[in-house]
Amino acid sequence: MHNTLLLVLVVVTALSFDFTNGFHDTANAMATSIATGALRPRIAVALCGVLNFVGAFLSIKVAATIASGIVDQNVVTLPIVFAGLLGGIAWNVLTWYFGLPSSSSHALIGGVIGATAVAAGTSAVKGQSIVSKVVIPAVLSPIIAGLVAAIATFVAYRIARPNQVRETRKTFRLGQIASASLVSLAHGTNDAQKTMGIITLALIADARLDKGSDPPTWVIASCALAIAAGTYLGGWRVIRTMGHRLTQVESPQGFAAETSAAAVLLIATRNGLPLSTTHITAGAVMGSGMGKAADVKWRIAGRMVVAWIVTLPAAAAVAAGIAFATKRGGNTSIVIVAVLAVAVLAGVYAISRRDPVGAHNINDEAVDEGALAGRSTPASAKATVGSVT
Amino acid sequence: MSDYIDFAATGRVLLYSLVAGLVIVGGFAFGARNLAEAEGARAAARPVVARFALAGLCFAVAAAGVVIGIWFTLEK
Repeated sequence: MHNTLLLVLVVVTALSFDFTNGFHDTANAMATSIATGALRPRIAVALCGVLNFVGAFLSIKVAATIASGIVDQNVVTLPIVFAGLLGGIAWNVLTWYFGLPSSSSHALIGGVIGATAVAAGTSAVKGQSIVSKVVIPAVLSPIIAGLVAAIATFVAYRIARPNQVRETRKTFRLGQIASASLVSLAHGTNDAQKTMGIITLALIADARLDKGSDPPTWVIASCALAIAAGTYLGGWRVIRTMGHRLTQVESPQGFAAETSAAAVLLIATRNGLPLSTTHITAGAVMGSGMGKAADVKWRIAGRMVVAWIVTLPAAAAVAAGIAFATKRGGNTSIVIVAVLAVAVLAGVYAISRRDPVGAHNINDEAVDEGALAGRSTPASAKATVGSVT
Repeated sequence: MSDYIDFAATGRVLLYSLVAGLVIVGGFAFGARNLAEAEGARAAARPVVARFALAGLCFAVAAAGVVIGIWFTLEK
């Protein structure tokens, strides 16, 4: 009975993580399309949600590879998975509140590392794999994507000629829809599988499935629904940062950024290089700004990079604390932690409602760096930036 | 290949991404420019078929890139 309760908690927590993953990463695909008016905000997140849902059904080949090689798989238990997931959720929600694009995968991996280190000892954590599978890809992703996007944007403007950009804008907007859709599809395929893998591992650990089993249909469907629902609700704060605050995006630039991001993401995956979708798209947006010789807000970019650096240790610290609290308390303490986590997350959501960001005002926001730190934007400072919806 | 970084894979990703980005974005931009010029020529009652055909060819190249991307996604 106790194991069943724990399993249910882990499955619900995993689906919640999947939801925050979609919620947090809508910006990766749609921020530039929303910023340039290629798509109306609600239509953009709906399209992204549908494509994430479809993408989740396209492949299960990389399910169960999350955290593989990062920690000793033999010591991973349901409480460790639970603590790791909560660490990932906590970091996703915190960075969403501050509008910072950060990698959900890194948050989850950090969570699993922290929980494993406390529950099973630091010897169960594989340091070299963390460097090669997480740290180096985190550095490479934005550099490669930024370089490709900068050159592609430069070429796009040279070919389209600056005096013809007005005439070609509508065409570039259509191109943006196609490239953003491709990123959405790839995101659904990649990211939903992580949660499928986590739930499948939990089912195997609880002897509900045989070792080596594929995710059951209900797991695939529920993960697809969770990531699509999160995507549809749209992490508007992160979209605002990616679409308006890193650099002012025009449609040729947005098209070049999304196309470059899709190219790097798909080619890297095909070549076995585990790059982060978030880091790729953020790097591509910054690169496109440089390619157009536009003003890139390096202060905002700097904060984003700090968040990327802090992601792993921060999620690990939260998960380690949860693992420590639940280590001796058994299932009762896990239930208490789950209730407390829901209360804290509800509190963060309530605080966020004081300065709501949504489809109605996503393009009305001034480029105000102070707001990124959670401060409200003064009405006098507001100006329409790239609002064409 | 070092213990930490696969330089060959990184180099391939950079090269292929650059080629893909340039071909798709450049092709699409060239198509967009020709489409705009064709519409301008049509308004001035000048011949437009070649420009429209060239624009269509460029968009087809870009669309092929998207199709290959979907194929990559399905193959994973």
